Amino acid sequence: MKNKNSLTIRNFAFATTLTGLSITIGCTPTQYVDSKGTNLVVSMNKVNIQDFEKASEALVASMVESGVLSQAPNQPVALSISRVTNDTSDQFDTDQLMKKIRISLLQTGKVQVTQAVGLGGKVEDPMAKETYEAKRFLAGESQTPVDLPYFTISAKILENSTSAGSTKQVSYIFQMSLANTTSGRLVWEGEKTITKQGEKNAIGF
Amino acid sequence: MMVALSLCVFAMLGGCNLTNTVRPNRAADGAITGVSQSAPNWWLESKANVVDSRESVVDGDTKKVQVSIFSSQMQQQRFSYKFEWFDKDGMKVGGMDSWQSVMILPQQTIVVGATAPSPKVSDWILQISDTNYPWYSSTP
Repeated sequence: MKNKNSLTIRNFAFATTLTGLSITIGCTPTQYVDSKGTNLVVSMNKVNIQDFEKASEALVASMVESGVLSQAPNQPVALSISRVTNDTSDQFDTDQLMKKIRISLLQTGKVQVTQAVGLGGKVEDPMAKETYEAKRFLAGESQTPVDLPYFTISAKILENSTSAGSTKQVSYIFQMSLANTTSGRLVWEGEKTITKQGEKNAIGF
Repeated sequence: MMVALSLCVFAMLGGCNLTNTVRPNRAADGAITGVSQSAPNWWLESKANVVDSRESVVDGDTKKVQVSIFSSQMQQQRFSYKFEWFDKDGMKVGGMDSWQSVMILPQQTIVVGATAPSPKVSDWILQISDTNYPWYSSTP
């Protein structure tokens, strides 16, 4: 009788452990996850949202720490985005990086993004540019200089892939430069490399 | 014995999701005098123990924070951390708060840090997490 009870308890404990483990490592239903959390998918062949987040934070922190933003004569300083090149095999929209950079820079209160000029004559917000020009015309200021950017940002994203056996490694290299348009010189440059290693995509980091 | 083992497994699996939190202790003038750690995850604390912290100001008005983290483990470990930022009223300031993953060697002290997202930031906390691979170690 004692042996039978002992066996039952043992079976129950074993079943409980198995159930617990299957819940822990079993199928995951579709669910919302924190976009800034640690349980996001980590891909071996593409730039993930957390990679853009890490890169933008590192580059903005480096730019702020350099002190160049507060050295501009007029605060907040006018900024414009120049050429941004995606040289990786992952065809993503570079705004996934640049918008984060701009948001973070605007949040510092040291920078404002001008819509008076844009790369190739194109601005992100044409309505803002047209209204700005109309207001200048109505105020009789058409002949005065426009709000030209004091700084411009250019960037490039590169990829470096290698493997050893079945283990793959991919590095995404985020490079960024800040140019002073008065001197034509680059006054800050930053680089952030994000490296991922593994055999396949995974959840969590 | 099996029941105890089952409970132990559940306790450990649950415990590995706990986040440790570090807050700076401040003197009346705002200077850091040390740190307070809320460490419900004892395993995580053993491999990511904050031993000191310091602050400076960059670009004239923006807070920069660095903390030293020590691992008492005898194997390489890994953990994630993030800083959260608060203004003078204690309201959270968003940005510059994504999780970062780091490796730490046995008995190593590493320095991690971050720059505040805005000059409005006056205080911070550090969160350390071990949500994945709680007993993970890999060869360097």
